[in-house]
Amino acid sequence: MRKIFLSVLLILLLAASYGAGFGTHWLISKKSSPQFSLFWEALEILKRDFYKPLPDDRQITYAAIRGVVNQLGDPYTIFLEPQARSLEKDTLKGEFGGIGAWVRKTEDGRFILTPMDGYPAQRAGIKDGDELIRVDETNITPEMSLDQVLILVRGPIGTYVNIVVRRGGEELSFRIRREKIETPSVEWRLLKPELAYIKIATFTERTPKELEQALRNLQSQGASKLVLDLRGNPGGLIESALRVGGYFLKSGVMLHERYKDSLKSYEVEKAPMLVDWPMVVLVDSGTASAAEIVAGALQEAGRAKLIGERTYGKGSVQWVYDLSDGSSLHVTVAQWFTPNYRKVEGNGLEPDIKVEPREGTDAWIEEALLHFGKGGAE
Amino acid sequence: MKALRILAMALLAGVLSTASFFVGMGVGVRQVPIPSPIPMATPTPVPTPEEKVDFSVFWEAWDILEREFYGEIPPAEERMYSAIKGVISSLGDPYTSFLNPKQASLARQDITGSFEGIGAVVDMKEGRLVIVEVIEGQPAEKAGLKSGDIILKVDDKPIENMTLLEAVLLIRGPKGTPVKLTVYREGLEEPFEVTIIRQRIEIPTLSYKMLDGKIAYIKLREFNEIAPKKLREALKELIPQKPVGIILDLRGNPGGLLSAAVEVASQFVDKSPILIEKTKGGETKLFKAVPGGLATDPTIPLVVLVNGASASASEIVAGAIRDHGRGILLGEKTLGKGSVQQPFTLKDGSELRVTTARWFTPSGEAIHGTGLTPDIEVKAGEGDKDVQLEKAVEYLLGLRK
Repeated sequence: MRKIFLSVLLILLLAASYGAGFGTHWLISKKSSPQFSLFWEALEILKRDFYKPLPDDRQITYAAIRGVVNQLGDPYTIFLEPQARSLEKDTLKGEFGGIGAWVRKTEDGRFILTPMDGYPAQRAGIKDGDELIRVDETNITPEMSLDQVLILVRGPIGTYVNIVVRRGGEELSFRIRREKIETPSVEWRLLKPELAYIKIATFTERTPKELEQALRNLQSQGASKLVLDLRGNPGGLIESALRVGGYFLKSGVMLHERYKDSLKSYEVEKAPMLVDWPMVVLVDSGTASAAEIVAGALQEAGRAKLIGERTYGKGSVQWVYDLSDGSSLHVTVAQWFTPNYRKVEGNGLEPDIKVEPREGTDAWIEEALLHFGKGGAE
Repeated sequence: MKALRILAMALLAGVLSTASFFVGMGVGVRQVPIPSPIPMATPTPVPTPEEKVDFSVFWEAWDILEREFYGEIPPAEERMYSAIKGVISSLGDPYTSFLNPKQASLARQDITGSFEGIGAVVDMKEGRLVIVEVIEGQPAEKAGLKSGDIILKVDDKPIENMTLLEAVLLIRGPKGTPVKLTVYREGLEEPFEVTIIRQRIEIPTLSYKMLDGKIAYIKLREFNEIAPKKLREALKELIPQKPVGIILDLRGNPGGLLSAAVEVASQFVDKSPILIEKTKGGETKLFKAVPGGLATDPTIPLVVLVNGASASASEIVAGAIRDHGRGILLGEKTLGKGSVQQPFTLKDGSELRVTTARWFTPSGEAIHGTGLTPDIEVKAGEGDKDVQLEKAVEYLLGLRK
């Protein structure tokens, strides 16, 4: 068993070094598979007889992958083309090299810029409403997707991008140096003296660092109690969630993962800082995945009560496989369970204190204030 | 072993320095390195056509799914069928379709013209399965379905992403068996469900009568093999009665055989071409009128009734009659299905139906996509009143004055 695995690993490493040649090797033997010859037969016919030219080979390949992936009927097992994949990486990283402008596509297919305050686009003179017509060597056309355009504008930090926009009847050129554009995932403030509020919007690579910054800042302001808001948090990186757990839990299990043929448990990851403030976690039906991992672990460790609604119930784990041409495959490879082996998929987490949305006020926050108020009186 | 694999993969990730993540619709994700094909059972080489597509990325994905997917993975054969369907769906043509061996044998039973189903004409419009006509007295009509209804599910199976043929084959089935449809109708807040018992659907190909003893009325329901013969029989009986005009009713006629269309058109039109077919390389084929038409006499005016369910062969006939000035079109815009599918049987008995050509009317107007606009537009009336037929009669009688 182990030996087989090692040889597999060897192949993986070889593939890393000789990617193209290796892929070709398998291309040759696989395409001859008797089962699969039907696919080539069908493709030959389509190429020869379909009334218009077929999409290019790359698109054909992607379409075939999509066909296989869709058949599995799992909404989380998906294929992403290179551009979508690249944007996704930016999102999860929480930062990217860009010019700091929003791009939106109008109904008639124009791409309109809105510069963000203090970022390179604005400093270079881009104005709200400028229409993007050219990025470096590429003309922007209505047929392009927003993803395609974003990819063109983004690039490594420190590099330059040449942009032509239309403003009124005029065409204006700009040469803009790309800078680090951050998309923060954590916001914080004091709700009242000693009572801190931290909202985690999503779990990116940067989230643990941002959380630490928030905690230190709030600590210096005298915080000693915490409301952690995970409402509407759709999840993100599991690694990030494990690290976040380490700021609130000293030790113990964060979650268990059940794979096709194995079970794996993850311990709390020790963080550079551990806060022992009394805390509550705000959750709602949009609290999902990695956010449910954090909420579930804190709840079961007796570290925090959950206030709000039953959570979303996303209990599957995806791995992202980067394919050799920059596209990627998200595959559901496991189910995860809370430390006490509660099944989250389809069930969600039941809050300790239920809250119904109320008109004109944030019922969650009110409930949290009430909770700490009561706690103080006891 | 699994733990080791994760460790090893993490190591490899370091080597390649590829960080991989995901966000979005609530997904927890781990970082994984670039995978590569891993040998499965050694395949037996068989001669296949020379393949020039670099398909390595496909095999990477194929192997990862096979190895890692948590849920149940279908047999390799079905996954291959899905790969073919994936390619077809990327072509953006709802009429090109793939049928697995089971579906293919079902479809072949259907070439006789009669079939077992619910008695509705459907089409795929912008990815939605729309009822274009419910046939009088058939189960679909009795169940209260109407043209314009959109079928969302068949026996709880979503229609989304299916080709027209796949969807039709789901609806059809042995007579006496029930089929449950989930239907959306504009104006209703929520889709409704209806269960219909399938029956043998036999539609008379052609019916005819004299209206008011003056106007010959012919309704043609489909272009099957017997359609030209039936039409000639009808004309042989009608023409000697010296009608002041002819009404050819092609409303709701979904088409059929190309040869039948040419022969039917030739009963009215003696000029060529009847239609123009264009294939991939821009090659053009002209279809000539068949000599000996029985109603080509221009002194007997002709009105062709059409609507949004007049498709394919119906549009060929309507186009030829209009373009050669033989008659006018009255009613509503036609469907716009001017393409030809050719079936190919693959090695294992599955079938590929490929759109190989597009049709154009004699004047060069594309039938596909847009449909033919009638010379006199008349919307269908409410209830039992056939406003379009009335207008056609009015028009023909008016010519006489």
